[in-house]
Amino acid sequence: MSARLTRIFENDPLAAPLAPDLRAFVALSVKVTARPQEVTPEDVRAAFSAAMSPRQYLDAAGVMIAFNFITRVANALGVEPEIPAWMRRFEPLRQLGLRAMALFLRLFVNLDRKEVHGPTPSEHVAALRTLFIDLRLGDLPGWVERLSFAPPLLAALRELLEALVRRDSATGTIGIDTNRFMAIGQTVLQSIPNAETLTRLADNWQLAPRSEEDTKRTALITRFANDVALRSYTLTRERIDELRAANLDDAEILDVVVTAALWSAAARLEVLTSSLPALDPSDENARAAVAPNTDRQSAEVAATTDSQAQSALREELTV
Amino acid sequence: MAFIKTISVREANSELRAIYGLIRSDMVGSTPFPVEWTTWNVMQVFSLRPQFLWAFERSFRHFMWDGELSRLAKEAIGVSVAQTNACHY
Repeated sequence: MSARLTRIFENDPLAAPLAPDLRAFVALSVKVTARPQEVTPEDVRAAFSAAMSPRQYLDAAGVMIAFNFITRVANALGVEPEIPAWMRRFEPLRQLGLRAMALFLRLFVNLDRKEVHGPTPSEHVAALRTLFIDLRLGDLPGWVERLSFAPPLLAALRELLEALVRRDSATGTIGIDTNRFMAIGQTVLQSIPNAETLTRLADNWQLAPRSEEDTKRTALITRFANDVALRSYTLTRERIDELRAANLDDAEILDVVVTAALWSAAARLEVLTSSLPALDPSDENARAAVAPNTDRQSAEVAATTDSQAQSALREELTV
Repeated sequence: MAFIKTISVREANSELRAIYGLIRSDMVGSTPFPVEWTTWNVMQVFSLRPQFLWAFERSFRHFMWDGELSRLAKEAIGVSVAQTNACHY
């Protein structure tokens, strides 16, 4: 993306001159990030209809939740950009540093499409089903199986969840404090009630009784986790020190942040996918079922418009 | 670099160093950059849990390199989410 377009996005993503499909994705990205509880099935259908294919919509949903995850982690843990501290102190120098970093990325980082090989979607679904059983969460929600249509999304969900909760990859033992994992989930999901299956699943979990000291500590952790989910940009070093004072080491603090960010991302993923029809790679009618007014002709028109708009944008940016 | 402890390339044990090496080859292929140049802070923040760092790297690959979405679309969505979450990283 050009520096000029990036600047437009940094001020107001909804003001960027974009093709209709991309505009729909950006609008949904902003809403699902800021106000996921207000995302309706109609919002989802609008973006799905604007997409060129079901797979394209799911890939877009994947990028939305990936960035929802990593921006919360980066904010909550105060991750600084790779520019020297003295440059960060002055805004023009900070901007210069960021641009140099962006130039480095553009010149040297290979972003060409690559095939990522790994297990099949059905293997990922089976592994997630086993993980749900091991965590005593019950049945895998139906919308997760639907992600088989977009293998990268399914693979990422499985790999991140497994890496978080199974500490020993050889034995697959659950290594995380399940009680804490679910307490954070219950807290995060309170603000996203339209992630219905995850909310129900978390609400049904019975937290184990604990000592008074443990209860206080859990309250501190869930309050922090709630801020990771709702206002990660407000978190400070002092809040991390509060967790340290409650005897959490830095690896456990990382677990808390990752757990909150993952629940937050998974809830958004449910919001973005649960109202879609059953999808199958060979069934292009699935798209028509959810968007009866979108036929192949309008898809072609959209493709033309997309191409024209992007060409116009490229020309404008070149000038 | 971050509010929690992180492990640099120099301090890394063999498992973590191997993951940092894999990240480098994902990012720049065989271009002979030092591993330090491609071990970004946003990756290093997971260094206390190397297994999670590796899962994150693989997920990043899935989302950013695989799939039907154009690079422009991925960048537009990513910047929109970052702006909405007030993330300056």
